[in-house]
Amino acid sequence: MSASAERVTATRALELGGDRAVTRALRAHGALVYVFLYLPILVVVIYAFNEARLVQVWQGFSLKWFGEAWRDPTLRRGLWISTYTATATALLATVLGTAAALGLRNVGRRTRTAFDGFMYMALITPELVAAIASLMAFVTVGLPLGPLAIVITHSIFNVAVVTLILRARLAGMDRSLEEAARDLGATRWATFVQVTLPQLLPAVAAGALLAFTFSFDDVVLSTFVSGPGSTPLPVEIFSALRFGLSPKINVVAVTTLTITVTFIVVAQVLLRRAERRSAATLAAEVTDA
Amino acid sequence: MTERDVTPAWARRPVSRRGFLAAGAAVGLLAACGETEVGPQATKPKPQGSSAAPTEIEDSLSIYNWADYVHPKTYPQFEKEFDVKITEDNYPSNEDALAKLKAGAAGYDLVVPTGYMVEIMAAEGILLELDHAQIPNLSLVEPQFLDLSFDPGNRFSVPKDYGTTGYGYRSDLVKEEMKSWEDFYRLAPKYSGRYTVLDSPPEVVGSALKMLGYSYNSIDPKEISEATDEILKLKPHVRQITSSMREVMISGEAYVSLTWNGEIGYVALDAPKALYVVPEEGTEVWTDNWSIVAGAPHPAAAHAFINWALQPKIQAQDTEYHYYGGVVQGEEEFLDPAIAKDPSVYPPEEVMSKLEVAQANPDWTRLRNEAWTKFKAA
Amino acid sequence: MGEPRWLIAPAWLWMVTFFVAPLGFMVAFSLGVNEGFFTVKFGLHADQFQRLWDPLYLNIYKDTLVLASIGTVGCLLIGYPFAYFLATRTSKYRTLLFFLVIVPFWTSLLIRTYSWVLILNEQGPLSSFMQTVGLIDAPLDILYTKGAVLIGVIYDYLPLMVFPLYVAIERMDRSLIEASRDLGCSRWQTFRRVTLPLTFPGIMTGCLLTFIPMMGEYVVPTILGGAKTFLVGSLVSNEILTAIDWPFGAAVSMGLIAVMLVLIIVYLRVLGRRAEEGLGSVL
Repeated sequence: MSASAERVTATRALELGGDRAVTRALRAHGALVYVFLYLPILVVVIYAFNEARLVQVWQGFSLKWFGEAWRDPTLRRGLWISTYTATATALLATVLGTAAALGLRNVGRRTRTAFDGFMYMALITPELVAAIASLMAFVTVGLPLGPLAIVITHSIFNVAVVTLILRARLAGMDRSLEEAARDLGATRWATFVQVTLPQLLPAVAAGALLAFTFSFDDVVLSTFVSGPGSTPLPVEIFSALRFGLSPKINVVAVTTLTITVTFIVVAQVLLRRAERRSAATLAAEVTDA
Repeated sequence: MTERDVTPAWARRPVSRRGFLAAGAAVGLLAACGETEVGPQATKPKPQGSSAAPTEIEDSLSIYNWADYVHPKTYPQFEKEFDVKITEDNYPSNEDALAKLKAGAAGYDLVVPTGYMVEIMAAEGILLELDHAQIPNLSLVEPQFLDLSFDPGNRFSVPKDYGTTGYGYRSDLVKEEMKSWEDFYRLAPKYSGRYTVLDSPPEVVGSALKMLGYSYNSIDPKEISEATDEILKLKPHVRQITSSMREVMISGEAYVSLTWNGEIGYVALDAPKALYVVPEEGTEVWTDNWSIVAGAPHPAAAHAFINWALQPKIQAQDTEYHYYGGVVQGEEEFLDPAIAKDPSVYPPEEVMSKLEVAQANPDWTRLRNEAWTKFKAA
Repeated sequence: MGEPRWLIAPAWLWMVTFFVAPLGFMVAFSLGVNEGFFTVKFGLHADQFQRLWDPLYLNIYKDTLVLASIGTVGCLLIGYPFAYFLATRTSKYRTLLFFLVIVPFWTSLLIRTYSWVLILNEQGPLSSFMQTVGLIDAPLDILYTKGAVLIGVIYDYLPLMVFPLYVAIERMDRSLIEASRDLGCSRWQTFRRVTLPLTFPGIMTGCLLTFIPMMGEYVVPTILGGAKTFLVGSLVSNEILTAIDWPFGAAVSMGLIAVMLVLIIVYLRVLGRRAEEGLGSVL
C-alpha cells in the first residue's frame, strides 16, 4: 500500500516539479499516438458504408455492401471455417495451457526454464517460418492440409499465450485457500475443482478468448496450411486483396473487428475482475487477521 | 438477358440427368450434322461422341478456379439442372494452383490451368485422364483449339476460353498511341510509377523476349539474359506486380498494364478510353482449360459440368461476363454482336498468326523463375 | 502439494511434435536438392546455402535488416514517450489507457495493414488533406513503396514496443528520479543517467520483440509494398508458393532464423543478469 502511495506522490512530483512543458508534450504525444492507433480502424469502419464500388473514392452512405457480403457464399464459408477452427484452437490451447501452468508450479527450476524457453521461442518465431516448416512437415508426413492443419499450427502460439496468462494469474493468486482446503482433508482433485479452478476461471476464459481472436484473425499460418474448401476468412480477404480491392472486404473487416474487439474487451474485463477479486480476498484476510 | 431456365419436369427426376445429357448432345449434334435425337438415350456409342454418362452424378462439385471467371448465373444454372451443389475456391496464378494441388490439397474436382500448366500438372500426375465418352460436347469445340501441343488428344484438358497477353493503356492519360512491346518498354520511364505487370514469370519474361525478336518459348540462356536485362530496366517504373489491376486502371492510378485481354474489357466498362493492345511483335495466345484433378471425389459431376459448359449458350454467357473468347462453334448466335466483333476478344486471323502458344518444360520454367526472382528483387 | 508435475507433459509433447519437429523438417529440406516440382533429394547438400550466398539474395537480407532497423527505431522513438506517458498516469486511468492500447494490438493485423491502403492511396483522405493544406502539390505517392511498408510495420508492431517499456517504466523506483532532481541534475541529465539505464532491459526487450517480426514480415510488404518492396518474407513465400523450390525456401528461412538467434544471443549477452527483468515484462 505504502509503495504505491509513494509512487503516486512521485508521479505528482514529476508533474508539478516545473516540468510542465515536458508533461504537456508527453500528453500531446500520447494523444497523437492514440489517434494514430485508432484512425486506421475508424477508416475501415467508415469505408464499409461507402456507396461507391471503387474503394478509393467516397460516394455516400450505404448499407448495400453488407448485404452483398452476406450473400457471398465464399465469404460465408470462410466465416464458418474461421469460427470453428478458432473455437477448436481455443479449446485445445486452453486445456493444454492451463494444465501446463498448473504443473509448472511444481517442477524443478531447470525444467521450468526449459519450458519457458519453449514458450518464448513459440511466441517470438516469425509466423512465416512456423508456417513453412509446418507445411513441409505435414506434406512430407502426409497430414492433410485443411482445418486440422490449421488448428495444429494456430495452437502452438496459443498454448504459449494461455500458459503465460495462467502463470501470471497463478503467481498472483493466494495459495492459502488451497492450503486450507488440503489441511481440512480435501483430495487434490477436490481442491482443484472447488478452490483453484473457480479462482482461475476468469483467467482461463480470458486466455480462451484471446486464443480465439488470434486464431480467428490469423492469415500467415492459414495461407500456407489451408486446403480446398477450408479457407478461413482472413485468407479469403488476403486473396481478395491480391485480386483487387472490393467494398465487400471492408464489410468483412468491420465484422471481424467487431467480433474480435468484443472478445478482447470481455477478456480484459475478466482479467481485471480476477485481479481485483484476489486483491479483495487478500484485503479481507488482512483485516480478519 | 438470359433468365434462369425452367427445368422441364422430366429433367428433374434422377434418371433424367442422362436424358438431359442426351438432349445436350442432341443440340450439339444438331449444329454439327443435322440429325435429331431427343429423349433418354442409353449408352449407344456414336461416331461424333456418345451421349450418356454411364454413372450416376454425385451431388456436389468442388471447383478450383481463377476469380471472377464464370458468369454468376452459370453455376446456379448447372446446380439447378443437375441437382449438384457447387463450391468454388480461387487462386491468383497457375503456380499457386500447382503448389496447392501438389502439396496434397485433396477435395477439388475441377481446376482451370492455362495451357502450359496443363502439361506441367499432367506430368506431375495431378490430373485425371478424361473420359471423352462423358463429354460429347467436345465435338463442338473449334478444331483450332483441340489437340494443342500441351495436351495432344486432349487427354487431360478441355478448352474453356482463350485469350492473349498484351497490355492495356488509358488512352486518355497516355499521350502516345501504343502499338508494340517496344512502345510499352520505351514509354516506361516517361510514365514511371504508372505501370503494372502480371505476377507471372512466363508472361513478363515473354514480353521482353518478343520485343527483342526472340521466341516466346526461348530456352537459350543468352536470349533469356537479354530479356532479363530489359525487364530489370523496366522494374523501377513498375507500380505493382499483380494479376488484378482492374481497380487501379479504372481509377487512373495506373496508366499501362501488362495483362490479359479480358481484364481490359472489364476496365473499359468504367473507363471507356482504356484500350487493349496485341503488340505488333506478337505475343502469347493461351487457352485456359477445364481439367479434372486426380483423385477427384466427384468425377462424374466434373465430367458433366465440363460437357455442360461447352454449350454455345453457356460459352456466350461467360464470354459476355469475362471478355475472353469462347472456343465453341455456334457461340455467335448467343453473343452480343459488339463483343463478337471486338478484336481484343476475338483477334482477327492476321493477328492470330503472329501469336505463340506457351510450351513449358523444366528448363523453360527454371530459366523464367530465375529471371523472375531477379526482377522481383530489383 | 498441488497439481502433479506431469500436467506439463501434454503441452510439452504438443510443442515438440508440432513446433520443434517441423523446424527439423525445414532444416532437412534446406539441406536437400530440388529435382523438379516436389521431388526433393534429401541428404547433406550445401547447394542451397551456396546459392543463397549471392549478392542478389544478400541484398534482400540487407534491405530487410535496414527496414526492420528503421522500423524498430521508429517504434522506439514513438513508443518510449508514449509508454512514459502511460506509466505516469494515476492508476485509475492507467488501466483504461493501457487497455486501449491492447485492443488494436489484438485485432487482425491484416485489417489494420489493409486500412493503410485506404488511407494512403492517391485519392484517399490523407492525400486530399495534404494537398488541400499545401503540404504536397501532387497526389500522395507513398503507397506501394518502402515508405508505406515502413508505416505499416511501425503501426502494426508499436504495441509490442510499448508493452515492455510500459512495464519497465512503471516498475521503476521513482524515488531515484526524485533524488537525482534533488541533487541538482537537469531533466535531461536525469533522464539520461537514471531513467534510461533503469529502463534499459525494457528497451532491449521492446526492440527484440519488434525487430524479429519485422524481419519476417510477409503480409505488409505484399499489401503495401507493391512491386518495389521485396523482402525476405516475400522471397520465402515466392520460393515456397510460386517457384515451388522448397529446399531453397527452407534455406532462406534458415537465414532468417540465424539472424534471429544472433539477436537473441546479443540480447542475452548485453543484458546479462538483467535479462530476467526484461523477459519478465513479457509476462
